[in-house]
Amino acid sequence: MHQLFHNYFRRKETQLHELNYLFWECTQRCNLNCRHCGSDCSVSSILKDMPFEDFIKAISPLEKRYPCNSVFVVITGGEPLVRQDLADCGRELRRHGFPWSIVTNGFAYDSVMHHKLMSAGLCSITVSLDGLRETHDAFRKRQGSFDHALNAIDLIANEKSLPTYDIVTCVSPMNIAQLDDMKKLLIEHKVKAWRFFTIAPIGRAAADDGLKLDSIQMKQLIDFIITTRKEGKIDAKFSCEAYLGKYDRNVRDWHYFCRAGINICSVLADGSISACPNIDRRFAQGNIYNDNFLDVWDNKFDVFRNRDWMKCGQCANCKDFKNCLGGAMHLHTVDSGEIMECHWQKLKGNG
Amino acid sequence: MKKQSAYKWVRGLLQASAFTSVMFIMQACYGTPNYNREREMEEDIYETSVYGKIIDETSLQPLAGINISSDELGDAVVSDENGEFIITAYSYIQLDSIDLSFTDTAGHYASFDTLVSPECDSLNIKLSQIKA
Repeated sequence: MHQLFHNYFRRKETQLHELNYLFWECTQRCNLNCRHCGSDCSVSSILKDMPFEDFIKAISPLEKRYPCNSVFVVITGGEPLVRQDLADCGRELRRHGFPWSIVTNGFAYDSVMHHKLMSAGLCSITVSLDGLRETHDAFRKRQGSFDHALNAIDLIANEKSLPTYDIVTCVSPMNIAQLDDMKKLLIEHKVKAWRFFTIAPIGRAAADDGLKLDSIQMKQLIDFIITTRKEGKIDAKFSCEAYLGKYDRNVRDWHYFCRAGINICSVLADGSISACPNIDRRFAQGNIYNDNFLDVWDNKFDVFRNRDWMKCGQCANCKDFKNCLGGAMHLHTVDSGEIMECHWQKLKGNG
Repeated sequence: MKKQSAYKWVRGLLQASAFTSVMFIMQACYGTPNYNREREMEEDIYETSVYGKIIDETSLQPLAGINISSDELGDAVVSDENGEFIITAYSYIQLDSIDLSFTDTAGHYASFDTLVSPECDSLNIKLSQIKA
């Protein structure tokens, strides 16, 4: 019954497709070279950082369309902190009525940066932590990454005036045995919210089979999240990356719903207009340098809003299709409608 | 169209209810948690702006290129060719006072610190030249 209600709600939300969550890939440069990076960014990108003026000019029609503070801008990369003008961009976004946040590896997040971003109106932040010291540094391929990330976490967790934040962990065979120790560490450091991903076979991770969880490890992760949620010491949840069948409501607050192209849009570093930045870039629906941003949002995105094309391959005869609608958009490519991997099938031992 | 309006009305109720507001909390897989939309930012966030003009104490001429920074605002700006500057920041607590520092990076003028009230509309700063 609950699921039926959710499916109705999802259908209505898709029809309405109100834009609430806008990614801005402000740079493709990064100060790390992580083994599992989904965007395959690099230390020096051939793409120049997008000037802020170009971005704000493209999205300014949203100010008239939506109430003030209702479109949330998530600044991502690459690593957003490599941009010298990040705080200035944030302050301008606030001035235009867009609350904003960043996704960061925490390497360049020190107390000066924290103060600067807070005073520019930072509303939310996500920091990655992928294991204990040795594992995290191995993932991130840079010594000291763990210490920098933990320092960032301390600054954020102790900041009473930051409205919200979380820590994310990409779970792989390399760190799954460390989750209990990581939990203790995060609770000791006063962290309130912890989110989990598995590593999608996209970007740099596509060619690295050693990062994939098998069925048993996947179940272990789900059990860990369920136990941690029951304990109530830290708000643990699985990300929105996948439908999990009967486990869905036990590992997150609401049913799985891939909102890419329904409520979520992005402006990528080259000006492309798409949904989440980890989605196959060939799904881009336009470009801010050639198209009107609102026209694209209003009149395109069919491939995101009608997902019947995903009903093929292992999804063709799956009775859960009505609930998952083919799974997360980033697990598909334009070449084939077939899902790269189905977490629910994996949990059932079929993956 | 009528159906869409009816849904929007129901949607508003669902968003406002403590039991169903969770349906609207979205978080893209590689994004950050969305801040609580019920939290009206106009009420919670304080915008503080200080406008000012910097002049030479003796000649009363405007001074361009003076660096103005503030720990409370976490921001730094440089005065323009008219000696004017505006420094703006957002904070989740109301500031009692703001400590502003004025520094001439070229080293011709003595640095100057002052404490101002956030209600201060405009500020006139006179800097004195460093005697050789």
